[in-house]
Amino acid sequence: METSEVLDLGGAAPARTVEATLDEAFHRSYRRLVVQMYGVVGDLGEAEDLVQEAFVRAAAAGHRFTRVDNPEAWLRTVAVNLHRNRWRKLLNFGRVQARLVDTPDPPALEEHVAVVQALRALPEAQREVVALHHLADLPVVEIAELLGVAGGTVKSRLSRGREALAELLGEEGSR
Amino acid sequence: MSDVRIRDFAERAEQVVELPDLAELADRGSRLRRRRRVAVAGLAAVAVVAVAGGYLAAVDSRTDLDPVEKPPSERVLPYPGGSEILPLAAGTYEIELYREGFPATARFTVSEGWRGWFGPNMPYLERGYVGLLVADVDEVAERVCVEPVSDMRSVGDSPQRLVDALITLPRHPVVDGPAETTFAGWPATHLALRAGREARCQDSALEMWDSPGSGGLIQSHGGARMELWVVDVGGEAVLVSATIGRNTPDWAVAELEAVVDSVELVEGQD
Repeated sequence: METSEVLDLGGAAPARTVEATLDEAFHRSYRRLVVQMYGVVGDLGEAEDLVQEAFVRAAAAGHRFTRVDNPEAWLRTVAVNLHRNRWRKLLNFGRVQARLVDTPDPPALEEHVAVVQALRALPEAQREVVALHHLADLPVVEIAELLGVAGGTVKSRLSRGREALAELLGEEGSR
Repeated sequence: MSDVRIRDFAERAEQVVELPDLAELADRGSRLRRRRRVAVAGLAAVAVVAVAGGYLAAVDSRTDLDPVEKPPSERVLPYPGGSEILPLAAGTYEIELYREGFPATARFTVSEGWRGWFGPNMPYLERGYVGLLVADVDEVAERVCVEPVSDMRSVGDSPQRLVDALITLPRHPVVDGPAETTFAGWPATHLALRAGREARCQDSALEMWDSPGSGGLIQSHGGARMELWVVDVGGEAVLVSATIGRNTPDWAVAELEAVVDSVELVEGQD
């Protein structure tokens, strides 16, 4: 173990290694984060990529990651930022078409396909806040901070998103 | 009701998610960390060279060439592009270029049927696709498929350095040019590249170039043709990229050409 990778919390608090912090966050939060990002991006494979990349960044952060108060929130922020950046990176007209048109869902989620499709049908800005609020249980103020937008904007997107979602799910149920 | 259904979905979805190999992720993190250290060391070395050798004074500049007079635009709309693909009403739009200290805008006109994104595009054709980007590129890939991200080299704002970097863009052989020309009344270099077969590596390792304003471009589908103009706008490089997917119908290519022909590059005010 490298000494630089150990956080000295001082006093009686035990020093934590990067490996231990990463391992704990991984087992506690990985699945939850993937589901949250699944809601945000509408694609399970993409969500897994983003969360795994967030863990890679956490490992690259070294001992700084051990100082983080809320590792899950840190990882979520990284994953959301990666997603936003990745959309920017995906300036590839052909590839985005393939991603949007062909998005298979896991067969095990067959019962919930209406929810996934309804989330996916929302405009990206609304889908982000709906997923972060309902899947990550984040309050408006934290979503605003995470996305770098005003609280009023989050409220309005959330309200419109919920309305649209209810309508989409209602339509689905009435068929 | 929606809340309950979302929670049910979340609970079930958590059971479906499989845990990857944490050791592999940690290993990638370690490699990323090492790469960052190397990059920081490299930047420091460049800074020393620049100060010692007056390197910056040698950067190419062609500010003595004036643009030809352009016709005044009629009604210009702010371009609504972003990460979402939205229908774009026919009309003339304006995109801001973002480079610090270089306020400039690109204007272009589209007809019905185009979609807005970071650049106007037609992604939902039965065959192929077309798209336009106007970007202030500051980094170009030197090596790709080097996980986790492409090796990028800085081209700064120099048109010549951007041309040089594009000529050697990995997996994109030059199929036409480079040739001196003009674009929208500004001096420019034109070249065309053909995207090679897609490599099996993650998107971030397939990044071709990066722009502070509009993000980066990852490799196009194999066979796509990229018509590029490196435009010298008052000494600053602006890249205009028109991409044509393989098997795109002629009418869509003609549409793209019309949009490219409509592009105006306008220097702004500091």
